[in-house]
Amino acid sequence: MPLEDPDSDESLMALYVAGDRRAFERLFARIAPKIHAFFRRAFRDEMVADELMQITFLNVHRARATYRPELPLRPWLFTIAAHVRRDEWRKRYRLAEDAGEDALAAAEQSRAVAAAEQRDAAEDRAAVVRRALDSLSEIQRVILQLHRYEGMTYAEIAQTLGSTPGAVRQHAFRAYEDLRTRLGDLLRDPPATGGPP
Amino acid sequence: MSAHIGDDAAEIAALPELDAERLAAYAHAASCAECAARLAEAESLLALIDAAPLPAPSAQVLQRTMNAVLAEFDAEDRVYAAARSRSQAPERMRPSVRPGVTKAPPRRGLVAAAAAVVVSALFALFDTHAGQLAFSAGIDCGLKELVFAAGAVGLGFAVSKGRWGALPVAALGAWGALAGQAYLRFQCPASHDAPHVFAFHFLGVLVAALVGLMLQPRPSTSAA
Repeated sequence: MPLEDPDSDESLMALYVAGDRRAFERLFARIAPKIHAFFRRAFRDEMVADELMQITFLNVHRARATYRPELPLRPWLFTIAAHVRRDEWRKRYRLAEDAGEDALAAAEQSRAVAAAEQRDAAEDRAAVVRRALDSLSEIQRVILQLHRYEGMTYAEIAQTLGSTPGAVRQHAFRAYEDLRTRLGDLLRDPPATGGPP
Repeated sequence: MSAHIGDDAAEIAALPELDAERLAAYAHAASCAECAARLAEAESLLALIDAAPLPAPSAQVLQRTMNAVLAEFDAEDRVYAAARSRSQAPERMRPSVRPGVTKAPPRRGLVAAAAAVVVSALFALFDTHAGQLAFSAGIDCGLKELVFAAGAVGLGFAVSKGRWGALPVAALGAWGALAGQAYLRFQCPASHDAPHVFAFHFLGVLVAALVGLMLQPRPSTSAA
């Protein structure tokens, strides 16, 4: 039970909801980089990520009374972040209020940025991987971010994004397959010292 | 899992360690070199991804965002403080009686109401003798007394120009009912029967006084 650990995200959130600023600051220090990475992965733009992270935390603050402490915190937080992300895409592509993930993916794909292809060729391995990740569709990037870096299950991601576990898994499958192709050279040429940088 | 692992090797390798599908795939790979190679490649791919997290945002960006939320905290505190002082204000600032409502003299009103009840009781004691209850006539008597009581309160309300707070409702009700009892002294066929007079004439005055007491406007405690 997360609340049994006084240092868990859920315990800190409960204190934060009760008005404890120190708990908020500790929780923020843990969560903010993850929320920022989520937006940066989605929008491939640091300044946009800065702005959306702030919007997300303000929304979290205003909605904090709706958090149910018996539930894991991160899916709840990322659901709020996912709403902010969706609003941003709708604003950019002037999509309807009820536009779902498929419509967002289609709009984003049609404007796929070639910037990822223009990077310096002399990047290190991590940069190459990031570039490969940037080349994925937005929904694939977001799902991989939540799956690989946040450790969320497909079901949690589906709940967060308002999708289905099957659809999320399908996106993940395509993303991994795409990355396998793009990173083929790195996979065939592992670092001599062992372990990625 | 007996089927070979296909292009979804990375997806399988990315499943939770104890996932049944993943366990079955790895069990199969233990006896299938081709599938084992696919899973090994998938694990390398996942390791590459895991080793390439995005850099953390700058400290300034984090501080700016945190300050924005803390500013909301401050704003909420100000609102709560203002609300708290407003909720306490009535204790210090609220007028003791609502505007347009003057204080009733509660003690004198109560004494007057009690006096009416005592006079009614004396009537019942000394102006009666043993007799009947006359229940059906008694209901009529009681209602008549209450009509007298209501009339007296209404008259008082009109005389006080609608200032309900200034009205000694209990006293007016009790004396109005007593006037009704006096009227019944000459109109009621059982007006000398003690059981009837106590059960209906006296009781009517008492009820009028008690109802008036319940309707009596009460000034706030600070006004006392």
